[in-house]
Amino acid sequence: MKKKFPNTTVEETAATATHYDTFKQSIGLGNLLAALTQKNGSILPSQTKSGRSLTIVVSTMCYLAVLAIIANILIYKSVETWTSDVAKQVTVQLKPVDGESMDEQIKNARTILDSTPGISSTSILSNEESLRLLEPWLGGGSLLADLPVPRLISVVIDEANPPDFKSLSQRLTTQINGASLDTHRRWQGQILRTASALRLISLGVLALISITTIAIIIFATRAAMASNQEVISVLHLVGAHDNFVAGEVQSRFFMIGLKSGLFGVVFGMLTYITLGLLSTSYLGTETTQSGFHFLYNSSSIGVFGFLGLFTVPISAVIICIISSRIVVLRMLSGVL
Amino acid sequence: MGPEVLRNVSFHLAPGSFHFLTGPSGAGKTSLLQLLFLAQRPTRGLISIFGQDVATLPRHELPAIRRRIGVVFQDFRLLNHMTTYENVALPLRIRDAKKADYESNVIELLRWVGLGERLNAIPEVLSGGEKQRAAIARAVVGRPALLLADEPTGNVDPDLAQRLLRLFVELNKLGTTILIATHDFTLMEKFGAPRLVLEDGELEILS
Repeated sequence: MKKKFPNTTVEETAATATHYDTFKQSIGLGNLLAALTQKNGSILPSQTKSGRSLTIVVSTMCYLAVLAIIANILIYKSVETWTSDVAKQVTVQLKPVDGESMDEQIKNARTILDSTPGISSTSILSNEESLRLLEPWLGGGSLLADLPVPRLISVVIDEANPPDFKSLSQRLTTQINGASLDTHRRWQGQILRTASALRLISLGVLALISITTIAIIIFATRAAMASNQEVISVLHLVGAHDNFVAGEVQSRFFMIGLKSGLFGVVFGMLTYITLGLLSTSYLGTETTQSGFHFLYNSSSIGVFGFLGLFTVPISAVIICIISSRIVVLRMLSGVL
Repeated sequence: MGPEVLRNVSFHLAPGSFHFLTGPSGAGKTSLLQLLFLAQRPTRGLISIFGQDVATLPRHELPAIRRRIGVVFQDFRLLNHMTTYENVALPLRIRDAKKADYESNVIELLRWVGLGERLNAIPEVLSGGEKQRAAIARAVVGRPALLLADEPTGNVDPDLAQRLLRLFVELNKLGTTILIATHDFTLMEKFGAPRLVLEDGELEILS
C-alpha cells in the first residue's frame, strides 16, 4: 500500500527542553566554571605542543608587561622623591667679584635670607665643600686652589609658607654684587617632562603588549577551533549549546593566561632583583651606575607596586577568556 | 546551489512509530537523515519536528531539539581522544548531568551492547563493530524521543545486528520514534516495520 502525506513531520512525544540561566549564558561564567571544575577532563583534545608554544609566547608578553609596569613605578617614585627633595631647597650662588670680600658677600646674603619670611634654615658651604663639588669635572690638585670658586648657600624653605622667590632674587642681585638665586625650578620642570614622557612610553608599550596578546589569542582560538572542527560538530549534534563549547575553549585559554601571567611576574621580579644587584656591583661606567642608583636606591617598587604586578596575570586571564569567547561565539554563529 | 537531492518528499512519523528508510545508494537517505537531525536546513519546504518548523527555527533553539534526537552516524563520529565510556556519556555530560547520576547507567548500557570490557578503550583500538555499538549506545543513552540511525548494523554480524535491532525495538516500546536507514532486507523482513523507500530523491511509503 502506498501513501503520501503533505509534509514531513515528527510529532512531539517527550519532555520539554532544558532552560539555562540567561545571565550565566550571556557572560559564559557558568560554562567556564563548569569546564574548569569538571573532573572528567576536557572534552576538547589536549594540544600539548601548540599549548606549550602559546604559553611561551603569552608568558613573554606578560614578562614584558611586568617590566613595563616596574619601569613605570620606578620612574614615578624616583622622580617624586627627587623632585620633593629639590623643591625643599634653593641655592644662593656668590661669585667672586674683584675688590669685594667674599666674607662680606656671605654676610650680606645671610642678612637678607634671615630677614626673608618662609625660610627655615640656611647652610653655607665651605670653600673646601665647594671645591669638592667641582672635582668630578675639573679634577683635584693645585689648579682648583688657584681658581676663583663661587660659594654656595643652601637654603631650606618652609614648604607650607614658601618665600616670594622673585622678590628674594631681586633683593639678592641688587644688593650684592655677583649674587644669584637658583630655585632649581627649570631642572625640576625638565625632569618632570622627561619622566612624564617615559611614563607615557611605558603605558604605550603596555597598550601594545595588550593588543598583541589579544591578536595572539584570537589567532590561537581560531586555530584551536579549526583543528577541533569534528569535535565541535559532534558536540553540536548531540545538543551542546554554543556557550558550552565556548566554556570548554575558554577553560583552556584561562589556564594559559593564568600560567603565563604568573611566569611573567616571577621572571619580571627576578629580572628586577638581578638588575638591582648588578647596579651595586658589576655595572661598568660611573654614569650607568648612577643611573641605576637613581632608580634602585632612591626607591623600590614597594609592597603596593609588587601587588600591582599581579594585575598582569589578572589581565592576561581576562584577555584570554574574553577574546577566546568572542571568537568562538562568532565562529559558531556561522554554522548550523 | 547544487543539484536538488530530495523533492516531493512528504511523510509523517507518528509518535512511537518504527520505520525503516531504504533505497539504493545515492538515493538521498543520508541527506534526509541530515535534515532530520538538523545538520542541514532545507532550501525549501517544511520540516516539522516536535511541532516546530526547524527550517526557520533560530539557531539557539536547535540544541533543545537535538537533545531529544539520538543519532547513529554511518561513520560513527566517535571522538578519538575520549574513551568508549566518555563517548557514550557525552550527551549526558553536555546537559550538565552529574557523573554520579549517570555513571552506572552508562556502564550498564555499554555492557548490554557488549562493550563492558572496553569501557576505557579509545575508538582507535575498537573494531568496526565495536565502534558501531558505541555509536548506538551514545545515541540511545539520553533516552531520545526520536532515534535516527544511518546503517546501524552495517558493520556487525547478523546475530549482533538482530540484538541491536532488539534494543531499538525496546526503545520503541518505551515511546521512542525510530527511523533506521538500512539496506539489509533480511532485517527489514524480520522486523516488518513500514518502509520509507527513497529512489532518485523521491519517496514512497510501503506499509
